[in-house]
Amino acid sequence: MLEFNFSKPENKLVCFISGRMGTENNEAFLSRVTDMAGESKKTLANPASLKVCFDMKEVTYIASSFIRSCIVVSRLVEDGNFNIINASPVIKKTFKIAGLDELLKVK
Amino acid sequence: MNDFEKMADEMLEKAQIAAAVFQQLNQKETDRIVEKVFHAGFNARVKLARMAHEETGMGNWQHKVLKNVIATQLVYESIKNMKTVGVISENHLTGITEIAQPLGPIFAIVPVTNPTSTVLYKTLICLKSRNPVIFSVHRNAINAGKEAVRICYEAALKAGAPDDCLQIVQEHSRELTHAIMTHPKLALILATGGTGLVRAAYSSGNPAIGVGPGNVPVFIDKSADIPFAVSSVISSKTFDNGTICASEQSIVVEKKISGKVMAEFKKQGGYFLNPEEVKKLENVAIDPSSGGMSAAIVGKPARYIADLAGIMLPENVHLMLAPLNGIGKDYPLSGEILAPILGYFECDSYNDAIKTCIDLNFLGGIGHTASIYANDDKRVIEFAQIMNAGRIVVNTPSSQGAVGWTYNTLAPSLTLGCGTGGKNITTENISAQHLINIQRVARRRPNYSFHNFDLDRYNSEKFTGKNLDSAYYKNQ
Repeated sequence: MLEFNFSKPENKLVCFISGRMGTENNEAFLSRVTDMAGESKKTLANPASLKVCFDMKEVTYIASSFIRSCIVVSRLVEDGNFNIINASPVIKKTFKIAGLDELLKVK
Repeated sequence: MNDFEKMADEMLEKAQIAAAVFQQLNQKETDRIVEKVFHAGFNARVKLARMAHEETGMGNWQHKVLKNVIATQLVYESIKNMKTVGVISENHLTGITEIAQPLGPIFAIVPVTNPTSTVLYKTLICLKSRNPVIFSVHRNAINAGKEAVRICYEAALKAGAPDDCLQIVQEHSRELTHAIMTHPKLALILATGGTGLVRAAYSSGNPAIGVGPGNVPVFIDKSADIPFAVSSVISSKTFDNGTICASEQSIVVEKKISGKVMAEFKKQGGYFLNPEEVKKLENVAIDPSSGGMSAAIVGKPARYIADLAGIMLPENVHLMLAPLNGIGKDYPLSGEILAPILGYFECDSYNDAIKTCIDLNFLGGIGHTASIYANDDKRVIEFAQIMNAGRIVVNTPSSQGAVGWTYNTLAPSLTLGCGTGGKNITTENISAQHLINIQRVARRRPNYSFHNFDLDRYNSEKFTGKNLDSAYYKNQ
């Protein structure tokens, strides 16, 4: 499942993600997030100020394709404007082993 | 960073992500993947065997089918119920709980002699332990190797394995192999191959399980069933034209039974070379630059090799035996030759025979395999204690016996540990249990003796070690 919350004062797009992020639903996921990020940028005076956050509180599993999508989305915004929050210990460890926890600012 | 380092980096980055994703899977999900890959590999056993035979020109395809069966059906049978994920054992008495964790990306080197079977076997044991693999298949077997990897990878993905859980090196070069072996993201090298490659693996700075060469002595004791022993040796040494590193290399017998053994070999398809023919065979079987076996005769039938050497073989001969008077570089046929050629040693006494086996064992085959035919268990144990071999196979075809599961209960494996003698970490047949890190949860179970002992006594020099020991163990 995927829900969005865009708060304009903070220029922040939060994506609430839940369930198993397998390969089968990744393409649709990436497409929706990319579209939403594009739309959000359009509403900002300074599109480069957009921040994107993945709230992964309800995520139980992530596939390689999802990890690649995180990298793609992190590149849609300026350096440092992407982060991941509420990752479970297992998901945190997954990003850690992948060597991407710092790049994607996983919390 | 040069091009090879870039290629290695790309492959290891993918493998690292695959390792991260893989460690989320539970035992059931892992077992499902292994089962599906087993079925895919098992179903492709004939196709892959034919491809390997056609591409390498070694062995024969029917025997390669059997190797693929061992690498799939038998390996699967041996690991399917193995616990490799999460809690794998709990002991309430000791308070120890063992937890299995995957190692991470594994670099698997695949030899030309057993290309598809090694890919199938390494795939199953690595997936069972949730480790992604990067394969490097010998250049002369690359197409068969690629096809084996493709079949396994497709099945693994369909069953829910992570992307890039299996990769194969597309370009062969020493630089690329070195770049992968020394990459900091690599967890382990599973090196099955020549001495140079195994040494390179061990000196890479990354952990390695390597397999050294073999030089299997076969002692046929006076208590042996000679026709049975000879039949067993011939079936093993001609299996896939001798390409298994655990295949017999020399026969050692006492003089008093040599006549019977020679007659039996001749009866069953062996041919004893005369001294002139031994020289002719050395000229084609040995590479003069290295002093080791020539690649041109590896896995070739006896008649093909005899034709190359200009030796006329009688009809129905499958195996050549070279009577030798010594061991070492002056007698090159006393070393490892992966073809249907055996050294033959006739010794004055039992002790001489055992000493000959020691010399053969230490001539490039330390830690690998030794073979004995005997119906006297005292002799079996004596022989086993004298040999430096991870496996001492008894009344068994050595090729199949060492590989395991068909003639004994050794784990079926195409990577046979050779212990420290062979510069290996273990003498075991390598399987999935060697590819996990085991964490031990150690619960409090106080040591009664230690906790009830007045520890201040250790600080006093008036107590001798003997006094302290007696007091420590008092009333026990």
